Amino acid sequence: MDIGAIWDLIILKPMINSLISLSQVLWGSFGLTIIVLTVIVRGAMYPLTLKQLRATKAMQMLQPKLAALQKKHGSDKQKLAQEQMQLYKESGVSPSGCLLPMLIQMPIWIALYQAIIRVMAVNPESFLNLSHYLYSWPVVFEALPLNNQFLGLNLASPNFLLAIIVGASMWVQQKMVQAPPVPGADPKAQSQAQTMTVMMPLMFTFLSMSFPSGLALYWVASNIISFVMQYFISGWGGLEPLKDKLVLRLSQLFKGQGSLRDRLSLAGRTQVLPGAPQSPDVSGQLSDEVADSDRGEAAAGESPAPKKDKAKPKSRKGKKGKHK
Amino acid sequence: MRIKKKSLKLTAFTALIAVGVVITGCAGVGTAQAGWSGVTAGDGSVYLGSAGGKLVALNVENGFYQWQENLEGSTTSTGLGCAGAAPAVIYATPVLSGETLYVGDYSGRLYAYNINDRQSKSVLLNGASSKSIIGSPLVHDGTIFTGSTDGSLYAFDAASLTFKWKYDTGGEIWAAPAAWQNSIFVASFDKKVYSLNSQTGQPNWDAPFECDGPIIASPVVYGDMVIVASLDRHVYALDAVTGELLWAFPAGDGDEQGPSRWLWAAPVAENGTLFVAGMDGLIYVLNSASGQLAGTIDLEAPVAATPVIAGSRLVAVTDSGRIFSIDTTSYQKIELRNLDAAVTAPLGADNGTVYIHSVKESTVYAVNGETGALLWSTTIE
Repeated sequence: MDIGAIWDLIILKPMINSLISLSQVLWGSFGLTIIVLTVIVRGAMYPLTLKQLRATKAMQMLQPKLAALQKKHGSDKQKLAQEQMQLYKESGVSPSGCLLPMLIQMPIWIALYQAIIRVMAVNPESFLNLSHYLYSWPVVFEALPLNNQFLGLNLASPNFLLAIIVGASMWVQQKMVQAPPVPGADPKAQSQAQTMTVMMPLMFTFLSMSFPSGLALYWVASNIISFVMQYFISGWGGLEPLKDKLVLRLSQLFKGQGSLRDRLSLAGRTQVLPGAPQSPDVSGQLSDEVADSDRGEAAAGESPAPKKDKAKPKSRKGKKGKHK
Repeated sequence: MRIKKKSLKLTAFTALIAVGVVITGCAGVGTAQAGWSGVTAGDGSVYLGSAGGKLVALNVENGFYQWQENLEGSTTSTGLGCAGAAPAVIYATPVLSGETLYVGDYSGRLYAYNINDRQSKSVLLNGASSKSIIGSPLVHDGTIFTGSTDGSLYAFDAASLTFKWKYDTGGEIWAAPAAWQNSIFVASFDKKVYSLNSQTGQPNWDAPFECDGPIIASPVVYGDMVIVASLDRHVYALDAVTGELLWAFPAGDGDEQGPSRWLWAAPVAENGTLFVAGMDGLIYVLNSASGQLAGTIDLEAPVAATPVIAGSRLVAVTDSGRIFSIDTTSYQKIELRNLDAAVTAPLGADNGTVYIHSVKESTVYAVNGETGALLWSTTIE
C-alpha cells in the first residue's frame, strides 16, 4: 500500500464521509457543513493550537533579547548559538514549540481542504471520482449530491467578494499573531513578519478568486476561529496600535466629543489603575460635552494615540499605560 | 537613495500583484474537464465528442478522419471579470437520426449537424442563463428531448430546434431520457423517475417514482417495464404505464465495509436478463421479470462506462481499461485486452464491433466483441 492509499484510508476517507454525513444533519446545506466541520476540527485541535500560540508568544517576548545577543555575538556564530540556547533554556522556551503543534495539525488541515474540494465536486468528473472515497453507509448515498447553494453563493464557483473577505480576515489573523512593536526587537525579523502579513492574505485572495468559493468559505471560517482563539490567548497582538488609531479617528469624527474616545478606549482601564487620575463620570460627561465641545476636540487632537492598552490582555504583559 | 530603493520595492511588489491577478484571475486554476462522450455508429461512420470540444466523424472501417467540427463552446468569466472563450466540453454521446447528428455540450447548447452538408443549427437551453447538458439527447417522433442540470427536460422540434415544452424536476438531470410509445421517461438527481407525455410534457403517472438516491444512469425500457439503477445501490423495475414498482434489487447488500456500490452505468437488457455494472467491479445478472439475482461477474475494478451487447456477448470495460466479453447465457467472462487507459464514456457497438472512447488518452478503439482483436485505434487531435 503506497503512502497515498494510506493517507486516503486513514485521513481523507473518514473526513469526506464525516462531511457528507454531517450535511444530512444540517439540512443538506454544504455551506453550513463546511462551517460546522471547521469549528469541530478546530475545536478538537484546540489544545495543540493553544500550545502553538503560547509558544509563539513566548518567542516573540524573547525577540529583544535575541536581537541583543545577535548584536553582541554577531561575528561569532558558535558563541551566538550557545548564548541563544542558553537563553531558550533559561526562559523555558523551545524554538520547536511553535512548529511542532503546527506540524501535527497540518495533515488535518490538508485533509479538511481536500475533503471539501472532493465533496464539492465542481464538475461531473469530480463527482464520479468521489465514489472512490465513499463508505457504504446509507446516509452517505442518500445525502449526495450536496446542495452547493449557500446564502446566494454557488460554492462550486469562485466569488470575488468572498475572496476579498478571505484576504481581509487572513490579514487580521496575521496581524494578531504579530507582537506589537517592541523596542529593541530585531528589525530584520520585524520586517519579515510585516511582509508575511501582507503577502499571505494577498496570496490567499488570489487563490480564492480561482478556487470554488466553498474553499474560500472554509478559509474565512478558519480565520475567524483563529482570531477568536488568538484574542483570548494573547489579545489584539499587532492590531493594538491600529485599534488605538481607530479609536482616535472615531473620536475625531465625533467632533468635540473627546470623551467619547475616553469612553471607547479608556473605560476599561480606569478600573485597573488604582490611584490614577479618574476620568469624569460618564453621566456627567455628556452635559460637559455639550457645554464645552471645543475643549473636548482640542483634547482629542492634542493627546497622542494611546500607545499602551491597560485592557485585560495587556495587563498580562506587565506594561503600564499612560492614563489621561 | 533610500527613497529610490523603497520605490523599487513598491514597483516590484505591485508587479507581483499584477502578475498574480493575471495568472489567477484570467488563466484560472480550476479542475480540468474533458467530458465523457461515447461513440455512436451509423451511416459508415462513428461519431463522438472529443475532449477538445469537437464533433468528430471517423470512418467505421479503418478509423480514418472524415471530418471534425468545433462546437461553439462558451464564454467563461472569472472572479475578476476577465472573460475568454472556452472550448466546448462534451459529456453527451451524439445521436444520429436520419441525416442529422444531435449533441449537447456543457455550456447548455444543443446542436443539430447535417452530416452531409455539415450545416448546423443550435439552441441554448433556457436562454442565456442555461445550465449544462450532460446526458445524451433522445430523438423520438420528430422531437428531440434533452435533460439539463437546471433540472428541466426540454423538448424541441427535431427539424427546426423550435422549443416545444419543458418539464421541471427537482434536481439536475444527467441521464439520457428513454422513450416508449408516447411516453418519455426521465430520471433526476431529485431521486425520482418521471413519465411524461411526449407531445405535451404532462405527467403520465399519478406521482413520480421515488427512491433513496439520485439517478445518473439512463432509464432503460424493456418490454413494458422501465428499469432504473440508482446511486442508492438499487435496481428498480417499474410498470411503464402506471409507474408502480414491480421489484427492487439491492446491489451489494450486507457488505457495509465494502467499497462504493454506486450504480453509475445504465443497465443492459438481453433475452430476459438484465446486466447491471457497478462501481464495485461486479456485474449483477438479474432475471428481468422477477429481479432475482442469477449471478455476479467480478471484473475486479469499477465500471462507470455503460456496457454494450455485441453479437451474442456483453462487452464491458473497467475504469482502468480492461475489456471483458461475457457470454449472455453462461455468464462466463473472457478478458479480451487491457487498454491501460481510463474509460468512463459509454461504449458503442455496431455489427459485432465495440467502440471505446478513452477521453483521457484522446483515443477511440474499435475492438471485435467476440475475439478482442483490435481493429483500429485513432488518436483524436
